[in-house]
Amino acid sequence: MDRLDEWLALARSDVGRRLPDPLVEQRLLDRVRERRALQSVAAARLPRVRPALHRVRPRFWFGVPAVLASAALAGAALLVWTFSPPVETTEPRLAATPFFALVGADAIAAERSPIVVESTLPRVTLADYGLPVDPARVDEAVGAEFLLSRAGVVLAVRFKE
Amino acid sequence: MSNARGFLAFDPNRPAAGRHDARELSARDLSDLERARAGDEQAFAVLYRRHSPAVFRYAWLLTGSESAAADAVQEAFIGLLEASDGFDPARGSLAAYLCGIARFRAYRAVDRRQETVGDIDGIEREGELTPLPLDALERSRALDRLYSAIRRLPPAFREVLILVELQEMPYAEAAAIAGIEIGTVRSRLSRAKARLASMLCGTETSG
Repeated sequence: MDRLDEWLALARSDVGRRLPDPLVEQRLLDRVRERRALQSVAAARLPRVRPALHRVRPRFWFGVPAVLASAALAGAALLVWTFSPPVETTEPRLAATPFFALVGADAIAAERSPIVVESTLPRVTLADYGLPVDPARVDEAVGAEFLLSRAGVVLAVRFKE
Repeated sequence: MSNARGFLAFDPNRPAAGRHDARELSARDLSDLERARAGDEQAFAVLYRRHSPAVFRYAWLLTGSESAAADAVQEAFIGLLEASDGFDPARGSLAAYLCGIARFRAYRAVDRRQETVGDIDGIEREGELTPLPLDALERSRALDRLYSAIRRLPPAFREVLILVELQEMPYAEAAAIAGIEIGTVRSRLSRAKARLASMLCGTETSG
């Protein structure tokens, strides 16, 4: 086996010189950046939800009347909807809005290679940007594209269907 | 039966690194992995540079294709990054986990219908393996012959030979990657070497 061991030692030293194409590392690092960008988008959306939860909890005592009132309103709305003629929705179909800047224009201009990350947001978010919201679709999500810096800062957002 | 590196071929305690080193490496891996999953590029780069060469070489030896090996490396690291519950340090090292994913991808890339099957029972070596040539070109040809012979080994033998002999992994780690017992690693390695020697002597009989 000694000669085979010599052959294998030669192979070991040859194999030891082989390395993956540097492009693989580059592609993977891009993936890490995208992942961080998505995480920062998710983190940016959390503060809007948390305060609302804190506000609701102490007011638990009128939960039951609120539910009854909501049920009555929902019943009335259902009756009206059932017997009313179909109405065209008021919300115009969004192909894609322009980008809404979330930081100063200087910061956006200074970013040399921003990343665009697709995500979704609650449709009511449209109202925050002065865009019309169709009440019939208020529970649906709306497509959003976030422009992010390489460091993961959200620079701008636009909405699209 | 000692090999060129001074290890006994069947030494059950043959480690690639001390246990203390392995624990330290494992702790560093875990810390880097946690930071990489949180989006730390630097930590990911460190982790990638630490493990990708071994994963690439393993996949290259299995497939014989640099592009298939690069794909296997990429998929192994994506799996590591995105399957947050995939890697369990209690079940083995990160290197073993990555090689395990790469192995799966590499086998998918190889046309398994062309794999050599069979065993080495009945093989008799009549010739002697020639010494390695001194001339660089001849050595390069010899290497091609060796790699070609390794790739014609039955998969079960080939991967053990690659992991233990060419990647210099401890038996336990090779066993974890191949999903077999340490004793099986030993016996397969012995048979793989016998078969390889036979192939290189040009006296292989069909298994």
